[in-house]
Amino acid sequence: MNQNPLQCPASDEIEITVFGPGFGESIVIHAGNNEWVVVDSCIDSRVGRPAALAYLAEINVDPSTAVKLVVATHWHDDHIGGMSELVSECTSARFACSVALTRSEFLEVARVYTSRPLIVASAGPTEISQTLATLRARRQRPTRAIADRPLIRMSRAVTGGLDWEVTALSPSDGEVQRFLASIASLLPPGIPATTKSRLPNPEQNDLSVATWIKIGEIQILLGADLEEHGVADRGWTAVLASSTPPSGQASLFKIAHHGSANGHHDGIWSNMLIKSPMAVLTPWTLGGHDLPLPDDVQRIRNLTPNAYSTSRLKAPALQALPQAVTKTLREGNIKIRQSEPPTGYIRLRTRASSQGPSVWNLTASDDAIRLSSS
Amino acid sequence: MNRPQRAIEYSIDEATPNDTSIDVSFGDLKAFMNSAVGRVAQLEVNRFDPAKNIQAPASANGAASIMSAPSEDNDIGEELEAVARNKQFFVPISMNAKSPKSRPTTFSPEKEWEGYIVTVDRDHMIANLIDLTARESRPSSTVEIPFKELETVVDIKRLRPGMIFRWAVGYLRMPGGTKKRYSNIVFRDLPQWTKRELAEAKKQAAEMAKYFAGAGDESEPPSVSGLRRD
Repeated sequence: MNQNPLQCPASDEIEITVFGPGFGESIVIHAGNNEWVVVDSCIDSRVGRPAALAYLAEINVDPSTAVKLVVATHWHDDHIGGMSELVSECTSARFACSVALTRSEFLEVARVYTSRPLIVASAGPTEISQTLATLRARRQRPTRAIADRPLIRMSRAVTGGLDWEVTALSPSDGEVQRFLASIASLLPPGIPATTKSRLPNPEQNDLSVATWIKIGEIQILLGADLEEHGVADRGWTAVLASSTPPSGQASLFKIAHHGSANGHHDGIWSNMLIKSPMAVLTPWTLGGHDLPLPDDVQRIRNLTPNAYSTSRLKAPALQALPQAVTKTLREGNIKIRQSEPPTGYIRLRTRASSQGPSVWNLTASDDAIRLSSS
Repeated sequence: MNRPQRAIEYSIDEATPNDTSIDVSFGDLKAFMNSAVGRVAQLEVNRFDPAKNIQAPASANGAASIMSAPSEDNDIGEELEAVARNKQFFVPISMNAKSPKSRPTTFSPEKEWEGYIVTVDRDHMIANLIDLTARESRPSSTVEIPFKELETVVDIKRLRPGMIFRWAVGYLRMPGGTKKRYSNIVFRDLPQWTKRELAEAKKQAAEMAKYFAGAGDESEPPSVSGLRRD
């Protein structure tokens, strides 16, 4: 794909840019009239800073005044990298996160793992802790996200612009209670006779905040990492069973949980999306495991011909290692590769004045791929 | 072997991130003494014939290797092996042990990583690596290391996700000028969490939660010119 020079969208253009370096995700949305929303944060490997901030700087947008809302969908490393820096710079934005992340059960875990940073490798709770500390210093409180709750609602009738709003679709009450009951298990076992470590990567995305964005008549579904468990009060089943579901169907879907099977629910595609929507995923790679799997790619292809990935699906091998390292790896049968592919993006724009199903114009980085041709 | 031991002065240098000596980042004397360099330094202490030239291990994973001496130095080789087997070190020794008659053994890392375990599988572990040589602060590579490469440096049963280690690969420069490739992984025994730390964390968490519990949803957003919130 061709990489076009990045330019700020026109005042009446709606834009959504999905960044995905392979272990991380960040979504930057222009709601019109230089009003922006950022959902999640990841580090752009090209520049070593939060992808959202790097992008806004590149198109000459001042995050301190233009960003109105920052959402942390959950606290896992791949969605929270650089969040504290992002929030620090978005000084006039409100910050939304799952209600559970403001509860003492989670905050205790976060404090334990960040109380004395002895190691270089930080983890998600560190970012959340720092973010919440920044908010507190500003005497600001987070907007607590829970299913069916608006996170921000902007009326533009006065200025003649389009109204826009962002609504949380999850987590459900059941998810929050389940999380709070289990969070203590993340405290180190056998305290105090346990040596310090980095917080292991959690396995479930049980607090993920899926969001519904409505800008005029344009509707967007951001699936976050929300999973499906086939249980009534959890995941996508709970979203689809909502008594106050979003009206209308979205023309753009940020595919849930990196395209994995456990982020899929047929009801999303039949009830919440238009036919053949624009769909974007961010790949995920960690510990030798990659998402989406080939079966996932095939399933998504069958659901829409307009599916894209922000970057390549597998991390490439490491290049140009010193000879001593290369020999050591070979003799020890040690396999090494990049943690993630280079950061890529998919950018979609449409006119706010569009009627009916939105026509999205796509621009992508060189690293992005169309799933139908992968 | 019954050989006289001679006194040697030792210096213990503070490890710094840029230190090119062998104590770069390892900070673990025991692990060091189990390593090939430790064994070489030990031999420097024990040997009675200063003219004999000691060779570093040729193996890439020196820390996991039994050291072998040159063929004309079989007695020293035996001594080294005995030291390695018994792990008996009779004096504290710095990682910059200096013999009055030779230059210290130094280590020049070509690559040094901080790693944390992501998964522990049946016969290998997978870890993310932060390249300290490049002064990175986040993982840039992922490595899969077979257990057989780790058996002599860590109890495999102890491995668990979240464990931190340092891994350096580079070259040893021996007192005689020989340069040998060398790799060492040291799992860091970080301090234990203390009751005080945990109590403090609990207290701070409760305080933060109390603050955030107040009117979070009703708080007015920062002023946005020309807009109003419904």
